[in-house]
Amino acid sequence: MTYRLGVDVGGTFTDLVLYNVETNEMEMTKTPSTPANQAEGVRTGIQILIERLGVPASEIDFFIHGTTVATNTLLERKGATTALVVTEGFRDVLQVGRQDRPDLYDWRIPRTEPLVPRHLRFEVGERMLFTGEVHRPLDLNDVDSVLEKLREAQIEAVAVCLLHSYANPEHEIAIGKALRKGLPNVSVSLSHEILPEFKEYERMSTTVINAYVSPVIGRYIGNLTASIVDAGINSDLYIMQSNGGTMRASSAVERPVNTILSGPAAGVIGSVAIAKLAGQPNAISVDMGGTSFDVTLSYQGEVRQTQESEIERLPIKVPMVDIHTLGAGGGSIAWIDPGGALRVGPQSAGADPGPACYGRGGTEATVTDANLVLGRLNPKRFLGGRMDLDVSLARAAVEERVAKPLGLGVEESAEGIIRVVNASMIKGIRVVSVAKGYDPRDFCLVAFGGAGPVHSSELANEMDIPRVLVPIAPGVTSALGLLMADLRHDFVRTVLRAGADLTHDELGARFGDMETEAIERMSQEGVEADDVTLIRLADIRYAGQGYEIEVPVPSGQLGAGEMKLIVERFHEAHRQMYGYATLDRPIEAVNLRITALTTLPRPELVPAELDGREDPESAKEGERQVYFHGKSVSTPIYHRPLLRPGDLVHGPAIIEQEDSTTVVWDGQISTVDAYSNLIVERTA
Amino acid sequence: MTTKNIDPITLEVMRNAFYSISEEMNAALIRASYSTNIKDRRDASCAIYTATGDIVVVAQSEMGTPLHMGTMHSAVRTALDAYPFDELSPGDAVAMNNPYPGGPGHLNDLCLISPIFHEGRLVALTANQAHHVDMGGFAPGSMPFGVTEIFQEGLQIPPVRLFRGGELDRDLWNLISQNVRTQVEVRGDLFAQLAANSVGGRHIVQLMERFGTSTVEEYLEEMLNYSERRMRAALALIPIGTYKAEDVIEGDGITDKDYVIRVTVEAKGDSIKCDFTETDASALGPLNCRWPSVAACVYYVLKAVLDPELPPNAGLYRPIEIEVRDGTLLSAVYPTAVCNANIITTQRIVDALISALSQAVPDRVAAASSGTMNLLNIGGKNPRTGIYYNYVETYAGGQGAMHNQDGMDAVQNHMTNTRNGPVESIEQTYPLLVESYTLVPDSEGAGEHRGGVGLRRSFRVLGDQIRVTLSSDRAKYAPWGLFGGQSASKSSCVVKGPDESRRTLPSKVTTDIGHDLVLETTTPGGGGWGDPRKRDANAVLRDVIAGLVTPGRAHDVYGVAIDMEAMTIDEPETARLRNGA
Repeated sequence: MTYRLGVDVGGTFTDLVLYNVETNEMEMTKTPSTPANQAEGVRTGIQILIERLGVPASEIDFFIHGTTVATNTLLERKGATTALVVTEGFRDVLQVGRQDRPDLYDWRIPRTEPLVPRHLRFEVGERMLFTGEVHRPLDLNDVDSVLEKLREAQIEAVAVCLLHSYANPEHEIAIGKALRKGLPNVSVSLSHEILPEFKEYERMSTTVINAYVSPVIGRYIGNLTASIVDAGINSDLYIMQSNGGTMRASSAVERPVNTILSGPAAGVIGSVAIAKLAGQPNAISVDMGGTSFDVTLSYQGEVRQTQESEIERLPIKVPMVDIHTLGAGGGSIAWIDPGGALRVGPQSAGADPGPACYGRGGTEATVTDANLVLGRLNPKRFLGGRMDLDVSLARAAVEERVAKPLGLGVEESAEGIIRVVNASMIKGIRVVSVAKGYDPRDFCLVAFGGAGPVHSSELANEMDIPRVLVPIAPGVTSALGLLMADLRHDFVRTVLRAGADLTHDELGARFGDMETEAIERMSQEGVEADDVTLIRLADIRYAGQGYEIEVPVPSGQLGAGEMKLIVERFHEAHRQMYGYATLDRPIEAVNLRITALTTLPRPELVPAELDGREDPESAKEGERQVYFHGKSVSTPIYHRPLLRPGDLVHGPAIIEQEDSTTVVWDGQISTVDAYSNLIVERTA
Repeated sequence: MTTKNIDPITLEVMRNAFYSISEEMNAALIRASYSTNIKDRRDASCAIYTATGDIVVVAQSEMGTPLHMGTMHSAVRTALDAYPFDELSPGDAVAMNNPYPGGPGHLNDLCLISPIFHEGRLVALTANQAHHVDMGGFAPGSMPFGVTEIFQEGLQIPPVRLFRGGELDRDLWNLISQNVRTQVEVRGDLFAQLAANSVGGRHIVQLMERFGTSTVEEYLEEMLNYSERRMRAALALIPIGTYKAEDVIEGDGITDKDYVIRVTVEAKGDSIKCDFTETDASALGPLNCRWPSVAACVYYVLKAVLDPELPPNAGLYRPIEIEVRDGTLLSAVYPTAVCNANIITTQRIVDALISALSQAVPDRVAAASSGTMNLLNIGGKNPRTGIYYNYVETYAGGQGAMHNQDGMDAVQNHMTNTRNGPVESIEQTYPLLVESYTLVPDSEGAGEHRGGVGLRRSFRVLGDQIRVTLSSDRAKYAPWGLFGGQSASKSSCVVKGPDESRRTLPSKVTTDIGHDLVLETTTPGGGGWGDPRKRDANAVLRDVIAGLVTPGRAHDVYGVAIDMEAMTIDEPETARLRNGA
């Protein structure tokens, strides 16, 4: 093993991090992304690395990739022509969904159109019961006639989702066989393989998304694999999953639904790994770019996961890193609402025309314009100097759109824009922390993305968060995260049984079966059984409740003692989350879960030896006027690449680097730690 | 700005903070609640009030229903009149569920109100209202037909101090628990309600510590002024004038009499008056409203029609005058029965108001939506477990069409937005087999823009006999169209036997159905907008391809001929149908 390569494709840039396993050194580079075919940008990036660094491609023996192909396919509705096969009588489940309207008051906002139109949804005669019993055998004539119709419709992908297939997949398997045989070029997704969990709409939606993106992902991964081979790289392709773990490309082709949050998950994994090293196991990661603000909470080193989320209001029920997204970014537009309040976003000026200060014809006042007016951004060093910003255009926009209508000064208005966008980010941080029972004062705010560090110190002040961490390269956190991830697969089965009916033998046997499958999948990815860590969880609730709690289950043989322990753990977890437990109330086991993990060799970030220097004078690049709290303050500017571990920067100060700017407020001090992170804390 | 201390930037900062707190109350209530009614169906709302009882912020994401917007304000007012809140202590909370004299719409909705003390005085209130599974009375679920007085509906709780210093009052709880069928759920949900209020109170105090008590109090008041300004600006969109409309409810479960709701809307520029005094006299059955439920419908319609994003609070109420007359359907006199008004009457009030506003601001309204929540309550003994079960669900229907878009198919409309029960969990929990769950072709109100289609579900009874309560409407009078748009199909509920026998149930009924029979319930579509013959022929073709409109209907109603072989529009024939004789 010599080199490990992580490649993350973002909206603007493709970031590459190359890690030399022997010397423990890292090299990073960026190249513009190629949205039409992301593989091109990746190829260019590899070329740069190979040529610039002289790394022989053959020595790269691990290649991991974070991609937004699946997400974009879904957002832009550019997936395959997809059909759906369901139980007779249930053609419209996909369309009715959970029957609620998207907005309580605005009845003009329509529901998302289903990915499969009604005429491509086909029924077959068959019926399973929740017990797994066959209520009506599969009608093979129906299967034949559906096959014929699918052929006529020239579809590229088909999803099959029959009622209660989680309890007995026999009919789905039979249909799957017929489809694969009769339509060899069509991608087939069976619901019991994608998500063997009860509640038909969510399972159907997840399976349909898988089918819809599958041909696109298949082609993309095929292309990329060919480029890797062409480049002479001696590695299988690994893909980042939404759960923060990785899988082989072959698995990604089968289950592309697991790659929906591939890119953002890598950023979270990277930021949490950095925070953990810096001694901050409780982290709130905030990633602020041009249009959005993503926030994720990690507690005691574990990233919070969710089992269920939505993209464009389409449910996806696979484990994902729990990322909360707001429409607040550098490009967010300031406006005055009909009640006379100043609002910012969610409309964004995007990249084109972009903020007024880009000089591309934008006239709306954006967050970036406000930061520029306040002196917090350097007009000459935006994106590493690749782009000049025009302060006078920014001032004009803020004056016209905000200052005049509100009768305020330009700087006052700009500060107002920042306070308002911060208020909505604070609201977002509270959603992942306070609303879920965590106190943000026990956390470190990890800021990345181009705009994150510009705002993070003020957010920390407002929320009494004791410390902010800005990684050395806030822009490539995702690519770094790719190299920090474990190989991982999750498995779930619905059992839906009263606790009293479920014997320890049966529970043990069911987990045993799932573990056999998990080991099998891991071995397909080249992992020996001995290297696999298996984690058992059960979703349990009080009988009659609608929500379950995940409870850890002991490994190995299960006996009466283990069963008692599981029940006790459930009551305890319920008490912790909800404030009470009802010990005499019967419980139900709903789902069983297995997570199979194996740790891959990851970069060891090595702390620098501190040389005792604290004075960052040599990194200082003069001063400029910056507005803080309504006053123009002469503020020192530092060049981050010249700062060294141990340096102390007293606020107010601005620290600039190629891909971001960190603002340090009066009353704050920023320390460069041994890993070259900036740590911003309150002095008093 | 009204006060010199108020600035538009701090207003927005405070607004975000207040909303965060109300959402955190929501999260606490959902997490801590016991019953599926709150956890899954989300039939509850959380709010922050000024110390004098003006509702300021109601949480809107995840959970919250338009009905509570009006009733929670009145509930707290009634409680303040009855109780000296400044004499309460921290951890105390006052409960009430009685629609009389003013409060929630039915006894299931229990409102819990907590004082917030800071610097030794009452500074604000938090409250939440949640639908409890059962409040006793004549039938499980406390929403029966066949009752004529509120005494039969369940336990009436006037404002009482239910929690003292965070502890549930033992005497009161003993009294309540003797009178409800589901003690465990009610008790669990009460503690969840207290938890939600406590979370809100704690965070309001933190906000006051950070920004100063008087600043926060000023901005609570300013939030009211803000909503008032926005409501007044929105009201000015309605041309000055008087607009009248009426709509009908079919029977009350005891008699078949039609009840007519009549409204006169008087738009006066930046204020408005909605006069319901000409409405028919009270019903014998439980379809009667009190003023707060009527107000909730008015607020909902004006906000939805004029400014959906407007933060609903007591400031929004200021420019709106609502008049009702005692003894009518919309101002019941104690002890007239009320429990099903939330399900049926409120939807019809909304229809009447929208009908009136369609004359004034046609581009902002929709034709009539399904107009019934079609509540189905199925109870019986589960042969698998020997335990009694109770299944409740309200059903989606078609949405009314708008001037520029079709209505949504099978969606929850207006005063409800609860989710459906998945087939796989219904079958797991109850001895029922769901045989189909489908959209209903040709049920849309035809129009240039069509209404949404209705929904149909059929159940086979696997166990012994079941008891079914259906609370529905629009079986006799279909949801109407606008400006040449046609009305939609009606609701129906039939019991089918193995011998092809069919028994049609009345829209408001409690009845028994035997083993192996099939219950099939169908909801109405939504009304159409404009002449169906002006509908884009390609849109008609799309509906035919989707199987939502049959070719015959496309031909006869839309005047579009379709070549079913090629699945294309027969242009000459369509031209002849649309322009010809």
